[in-house]
Amino acid sequence: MVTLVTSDNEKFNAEKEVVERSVLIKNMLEDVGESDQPIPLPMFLEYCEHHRGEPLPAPDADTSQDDTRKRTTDISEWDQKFITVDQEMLFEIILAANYLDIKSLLDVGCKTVANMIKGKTPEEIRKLFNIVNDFTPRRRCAQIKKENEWAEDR
Amino acid sequence: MDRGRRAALSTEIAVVDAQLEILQRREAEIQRVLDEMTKMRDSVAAERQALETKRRELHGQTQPINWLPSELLIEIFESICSSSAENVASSIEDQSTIVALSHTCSKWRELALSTSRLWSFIHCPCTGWDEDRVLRYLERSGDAPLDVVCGAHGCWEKCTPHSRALSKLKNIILDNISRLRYLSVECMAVDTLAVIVELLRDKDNSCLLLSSLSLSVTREAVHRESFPGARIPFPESLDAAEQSGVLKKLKLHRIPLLSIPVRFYSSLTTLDISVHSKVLPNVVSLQSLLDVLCITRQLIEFSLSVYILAVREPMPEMEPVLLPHLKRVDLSCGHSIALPRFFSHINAPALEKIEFWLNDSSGSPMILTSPTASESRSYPSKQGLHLASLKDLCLQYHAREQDSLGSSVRNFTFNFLESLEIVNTDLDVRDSMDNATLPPLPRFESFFRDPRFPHLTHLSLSHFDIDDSRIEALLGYIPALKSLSLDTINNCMMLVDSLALKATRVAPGQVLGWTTELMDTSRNVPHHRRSMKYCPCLESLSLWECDLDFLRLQKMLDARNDHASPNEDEDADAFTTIRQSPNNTGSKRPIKQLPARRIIKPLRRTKLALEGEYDTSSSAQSSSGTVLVGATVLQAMRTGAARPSSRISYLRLAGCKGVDKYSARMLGEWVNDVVWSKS
Repeated sequence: MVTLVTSDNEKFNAEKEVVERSVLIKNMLEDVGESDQPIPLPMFLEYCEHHRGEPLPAPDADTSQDDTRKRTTDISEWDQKFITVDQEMLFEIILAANYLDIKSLLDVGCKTVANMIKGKTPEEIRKLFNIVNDFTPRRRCAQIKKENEWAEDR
Repeated sequence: MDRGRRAALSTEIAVVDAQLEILQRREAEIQRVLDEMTKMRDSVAAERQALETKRRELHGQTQPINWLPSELLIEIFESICSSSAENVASSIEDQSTIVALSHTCSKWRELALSTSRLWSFIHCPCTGWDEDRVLRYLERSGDAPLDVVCGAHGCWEKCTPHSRALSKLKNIILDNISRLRYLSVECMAVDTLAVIVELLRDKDNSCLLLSSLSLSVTREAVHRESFPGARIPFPESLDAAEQSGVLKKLKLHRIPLLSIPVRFYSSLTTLDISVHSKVLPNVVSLQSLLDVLCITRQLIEFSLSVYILAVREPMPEMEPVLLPHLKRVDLSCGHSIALPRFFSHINAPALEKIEFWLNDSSGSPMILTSPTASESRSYPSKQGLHLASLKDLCLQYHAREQDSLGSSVRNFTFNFLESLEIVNTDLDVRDSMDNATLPPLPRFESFFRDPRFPHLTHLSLSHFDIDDSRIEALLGYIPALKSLSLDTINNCMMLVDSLALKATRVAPGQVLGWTTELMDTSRNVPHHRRSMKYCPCLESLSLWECDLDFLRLQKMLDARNDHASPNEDEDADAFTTIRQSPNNTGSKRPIKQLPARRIIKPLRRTKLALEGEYDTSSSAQSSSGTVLVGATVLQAMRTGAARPSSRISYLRLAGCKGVDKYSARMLGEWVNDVVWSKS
């Protein structure tokens, strides 16, 4: 068993097999070995528990350019329910998954945001994420539009 | 003017001058103050702007999207480009979203433009594409592998071999050929495509990254002469470069086989050949096809859509083409003889799935619709027709072709089939509102060489009438069934009734036909729960557009999901073969007690097979149509039937008469998951 401690000092016990879905924790456990010392990390036990036993992605899986376009934005039903949270929590999850190096969870997070963006206009995207339009002067916007009219004119 | 007057004027001028000087000084002072104020105002304004910017930044940091570092934003952007380039409509949609991203804010634009992979999809429709814009996108794509789609959606109508559009396209392909990952060219004109093919044939144009290629002629008649480079390969004569291709997927629509260089075939895992069109020629020579397959040893998926798979008579004796990795075959043909004809010439030990679409051949030109004499003689000995690894079979055909398909299917054995789908594609029947016109479901005994499917877990039937006298025989052949899907099936309720029947008990140590062990095994399940007679493992039932009876459906679920009183079974005679059909429950028909002690001797061949003295391979090779019993099949049938009963946990009712939404909800009491829809 491994003890995880959240930033607000809450402790959770979890099986090694479960927490090792995080490459960061796996590396830490390998480096320090099993000990009674708690590891201070945020918790993603629910996700890791559900995906226990599933094969971990190969370390160089994300470096293949050929596969980039082949990725799908499909998300399993369970993952979809897991990730149905408010924006603040969604981006927290993505950041944590990145920090903990949980590739599959990071993928789910990124795909969720990608699905939110798909098919939207720039104005709708800005509204969705509260992004300020910092394109000034207007002429620049016109230039951008001109540059990309091929895709827009389709 | 007198002297006095002049002096007075001078004095007055001096006074005015003095006043002017004072005013000028005051004016200068005011201007200085104004300048200072302006300076102060500008300073305050600048300070305000700086604070506003800082506030925006601080406010931006409170927005979750801005918590993400650039590398994660890029990861998200790349997730947007998720569509395969083969799905042109989705890829165009993705590209449009990427453009929208680059218009959102300056940071996102900078990130998008610096990520070359986002710009690697290049779409050149027949009309309306600007070379400058394409070049700009090519520039943005940097060194990233390119997906180039030309003339999808039936474009290239006006494109001729000498057109400017083709010339531009050629230049784009040539300039970027080393980083092409996917190339799709679809055009009406044969000559136009011949230009592209010639370009690919040139050995100097090395397509190092090309992993997927799709070439399609949409209208003009195609002749071999249009592609003069086509040649029959001899694998042993291929040089090293030809044998080490990188192309994984190849799709040829009405392009003569082997028009493109042999090096594009050697590493293929997916091959899709289609000549099935009303435009002639729509015939593929079996020999040419085998020549192609000889050089595609890595093939995993093969799809062939052809009207006629022609053979020369006499067909020369040849070894079947070994395709060790082939897992899936999709065949769409105008005549069912293509099925045994094709499989008798290949050896695919890993084949798992066959999808066969038999088109209605009525109105087709007079052609040979039955195997040649030499073919028929050779089928029984062809290993390719004994598909021991096949798990999934889908047969879609016009009911008019049922007999001809049956005569082809009977050449095969599929003893390890796990999923079977039989679909009637007759549009007249499918569009008809009257189920009375449904054709009969083929009798498994006459349709298949061996009707028993001991490993079958999924069965789907669509648009048939099931003869009520054949229902129990059908269910008896599929003891391991887990999922049953019925779409527009007549007599569906009779089948449901049969599913409610409980298994017969046989006195310990007694024998009742080949199912005796199954009966004996029922002793292993808890005493209060009897096994079901048919398909004890059934877990999922989907009914589409069927006429249902709520009470009978409820009764079946009740029987199978053990909602009946535990003592109900105890009340029944422990060792009888009472047929507990729900239809009979209300009748006064006397309960029929079969002689529980009667011993039915197994057939001689069965017995021999059981004792291991009978060579089952000889049964497979027998040319007779007799269904022979193999020990493994029999054992598997017993094992399947003897499994403890499962509950039906999933029930789908779509467009069924007789069960409305509220009744369906009531069924939730018996089933974990009930899905009801109007149609």
